[in-house]
Amino acid sequence: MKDTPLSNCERDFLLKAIEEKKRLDGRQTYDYRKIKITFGTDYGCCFVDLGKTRVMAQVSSELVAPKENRPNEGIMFFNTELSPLASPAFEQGRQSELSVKLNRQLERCLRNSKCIDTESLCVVSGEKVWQIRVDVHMLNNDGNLMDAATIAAITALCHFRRPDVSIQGEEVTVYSVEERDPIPLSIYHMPISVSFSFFQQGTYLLVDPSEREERVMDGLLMIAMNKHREICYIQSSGGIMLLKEQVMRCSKIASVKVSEITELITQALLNDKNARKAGGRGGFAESMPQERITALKMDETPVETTDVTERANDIVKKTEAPPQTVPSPVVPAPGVGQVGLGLQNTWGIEEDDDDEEEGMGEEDSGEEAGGKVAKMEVDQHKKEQQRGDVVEISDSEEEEVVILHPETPVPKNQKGSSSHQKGAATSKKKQKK
Amino acid sequence: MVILLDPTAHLKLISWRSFDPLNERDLTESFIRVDPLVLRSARGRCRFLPVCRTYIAPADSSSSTRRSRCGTGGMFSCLKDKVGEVLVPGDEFSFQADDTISLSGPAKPEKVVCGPGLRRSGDRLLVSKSGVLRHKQPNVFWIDSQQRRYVPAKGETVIGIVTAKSGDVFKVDVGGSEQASLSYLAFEGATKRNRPNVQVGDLVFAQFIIANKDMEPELVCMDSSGRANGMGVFGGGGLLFTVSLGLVRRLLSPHNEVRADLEQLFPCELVVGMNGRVWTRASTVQQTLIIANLLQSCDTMTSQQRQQLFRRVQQGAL
Repeated sequence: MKDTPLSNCERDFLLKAIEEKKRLDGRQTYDYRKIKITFGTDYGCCFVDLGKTRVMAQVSSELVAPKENRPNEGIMFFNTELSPLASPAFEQGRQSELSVKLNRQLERCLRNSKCIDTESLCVVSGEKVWQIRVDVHMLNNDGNLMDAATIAAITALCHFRRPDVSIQGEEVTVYSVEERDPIPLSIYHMPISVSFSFFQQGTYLLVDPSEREERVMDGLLMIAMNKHREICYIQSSGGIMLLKEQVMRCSKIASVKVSEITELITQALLNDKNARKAGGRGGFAESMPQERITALKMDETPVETTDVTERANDIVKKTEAPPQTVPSPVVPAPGVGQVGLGLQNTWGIEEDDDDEEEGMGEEDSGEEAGGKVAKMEVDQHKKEQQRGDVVEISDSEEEEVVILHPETPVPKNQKGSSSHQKGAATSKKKQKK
Repeated sequence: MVILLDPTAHLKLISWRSFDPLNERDLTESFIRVDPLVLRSARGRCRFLPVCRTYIAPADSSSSTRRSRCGTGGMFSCLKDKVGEVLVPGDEFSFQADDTISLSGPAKPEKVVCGPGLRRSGDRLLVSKSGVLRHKQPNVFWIDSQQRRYVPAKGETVIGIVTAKSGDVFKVDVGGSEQASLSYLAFEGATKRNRPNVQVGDLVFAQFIIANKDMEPELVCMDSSGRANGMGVFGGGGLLFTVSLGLVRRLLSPHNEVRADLEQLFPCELVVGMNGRVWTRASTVQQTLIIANLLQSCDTMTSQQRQQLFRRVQQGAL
């Protein structure tokens, strides 16, 4: 997807604002945006926030054969990933020009400055060395990816611990974290890159350009320096002619910025070390407590239905057979009978077991116990009706009126309707399952 | 639409809603600055159709005689309970039909109109955006989200950046998934001989006349009577910045607090596009920057925090 184009109005406004020594986010000319360094749960995982720019670096190690010409040196490998996550303008998969450029700059800044002791990464000369791989993922692009990437990479390298190894004769043993404490890399110094953008052919200079400022700028000067004020790498791009004084001034600004950032990194590393010693858990997953139930409805409780038939049969076998006496139905008026008012049907209980659904099997014994009470009530009810000799047909939908033909077998018909009435609630839910 | 935020300026806003059920589009409010006389004609010529998708409380579908008896309970009360609460994608409402069967009495279908962020799936109602559940009488529900991705909708006015001139159309970036096209004849007073002066990189304030998911969206810079009505190419100066779509809708709603607070500060010009782009111009660069930064920070502030900040700005803290 194409990036949002920069409109003429934004360009004019930015240049005009820079002439008036104003920046969009209210910074001064030499100000950095807010830098925040956080660590992941694992060793060697570091997130750097530079304003809205966000970069993650992850260091990993592997035992490999060394290069032919350097048999007793470990290998440093850098990889930068620009995914559409960072900006819609970045494409997935393909190596873009920007990612190659960033990768190359990162390599020059960290590998060529020899800030890491590669010889200490040798295990068996000419056979086994550690390969340290640094993956830098851009998570959000709001300008000045390079500075954020170097800070993230060097902090992650400082934070990283590689597994301990021991050599006995020909045998190389790699110890897991539980067996032996992992070992930090030996780092001589921390090169940190500082970006300067130039506007109007070098008339105006800004430190730490944001994304919109990067689009308007004429040229970029990048200086990587360590806290001993040694320049590790310097690059000018964009085709502007810089005077000697300008470069000197930039390097002075860079030395101040680098000492500030180095201080921040050491402080962050120290804080993380203390936090780990205290045993607190960190990282992204821990930072998001799961205290919320997202579903707004209650799920139905799952009922185990694997061996219900067996269990039901078992229960049916064990329970005593219900009394075989069937109360003779009282017919209040010729041809009319009533089962009513939501009472338990007691007619033909012996057939209930087959007819009711299997899930009900367990409850059956209880029901039968209550059945007798219910039966009494029914009978009582019948008597009352008999006395009045009036057939009540209520219009309440809870009741059902069943017309019985004198010839038809009474229990069958009535039982079906009653169980429908009472079991309506339960049976319906079961059907849904 | 240009809102003059000069405290002396008099302005009137009239709103109506549009919701396109085919595109699952935002239930958005578009506003134009009109006086009542113009409004009558605007109603006639702008093709805003209040189309809504209706959800009936799902009754047991197996028999047509059965209908949910929940009446004003059920779905409606379920949704009503959550109004004003923050919901996240994956939250769901479900409405089970009542178990009792009504043989007498007419079944009353319950209707709920769902706006953006709520979608139906079977007998469930799923939340598909994170935000606050809002309700409008009688039965409209939607999720008020702070999303930034714009999806073009017919009739909405947006700020676009001209990216290319090809033949007789301009390609305009509006922040959507695709660039919109804008004919050079779609400007006030433009003819084949009298072309509008539009350069690549210019800003235009335009209205969508075609916006659906299968076709390239098309913009015009005039209304159906051929008048510019505030639309067209922007003059020089000013600053363009983006805010969330939720803030844009808030800015455009009538009697809005943010705008009222802003009016107290200093005179400025403000153009608000429904695509989240806002253009502003004040008398100095400093004041323009203040307005832009204030509006961008308004996104995540409560009204108290905002008023506090605006008061500090007024006292000259910035």
